[in-house]
Amino acid sequence: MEQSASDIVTLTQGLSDGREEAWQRFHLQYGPRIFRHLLAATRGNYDLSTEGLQQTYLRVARYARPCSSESEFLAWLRTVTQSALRDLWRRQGTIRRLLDRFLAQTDSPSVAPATEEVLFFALDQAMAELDESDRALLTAKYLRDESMADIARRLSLTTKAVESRLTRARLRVRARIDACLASHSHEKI
Amino acid sequence: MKKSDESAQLLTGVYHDDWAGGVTADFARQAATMARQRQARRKRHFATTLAIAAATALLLSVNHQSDPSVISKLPSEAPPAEIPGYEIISDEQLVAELRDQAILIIPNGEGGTKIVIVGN
Repeated sequence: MEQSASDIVTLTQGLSDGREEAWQRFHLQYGPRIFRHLLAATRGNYDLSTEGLQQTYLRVARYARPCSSESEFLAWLRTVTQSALRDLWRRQGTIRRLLDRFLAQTDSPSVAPATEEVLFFALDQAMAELDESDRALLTAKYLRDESMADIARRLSLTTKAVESRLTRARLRVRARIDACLASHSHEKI
Repeated sequence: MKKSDESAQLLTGVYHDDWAGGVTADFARQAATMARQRQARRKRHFATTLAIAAATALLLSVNHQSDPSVISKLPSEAPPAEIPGYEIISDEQLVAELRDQAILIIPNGEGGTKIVIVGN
């Protein structure tokens, strides 16, 4: 549901002023969207996406201005995110070129960014390939928002055991997403 | 929940387990701090600029008033029937009155100046 104009004005003014509640709201409502965009653009590169998220937030802190509509705010946010990512790539490219010169290797070909549709497709594939129990665990934690304690009680496990299983399931999904994105690296759906 | 919202939520969780309280939340706190620091710097810069402008204008005004040709134009005493609209005070009294307040010195178009105390 689109935010009202006054909500957006309040939020963007709060971001500019550095108000904690505005930043918390921004992080919860818009952070995941920014991260997904970065994940798609980097083809699942977790480190680059996470660093891109941090750089995007810092740019928002620096350049935030009141916006009169959510669509205007989202368009501006996309520009800021892409700019942050370009700077990271440029920095990475500089470091890579220095290393390549050092190691006398050729540059690896750049890969076209994926879209969010491809990312979601990769996620669906990854989830479908999981064990039923792992799938149920991820669904309970991230879709039904169950606490670790509740999950542990239901499965008659310790919280620590649930945490370990969840971590392994998450890593499996991420590995499958990476593989799916790599196999579609020549495509841009 | 729509399928796309479910997928979005799942994707976030798979990559960052604790979105609301983990490392990504620290990014938001860090950015909020930076924004507050920028605002504070902007306000300090503005206040400093205003103070310098006011001090400069005050200095010019004092120099202008110390000109004998100006003093001779001032009435030596106010007519008994009139209540003067001003009171002449010393520099020390002026500084004591102003304390930390910012002032604006505005030319009044007749060669003199008008001092306006800017509210906090």
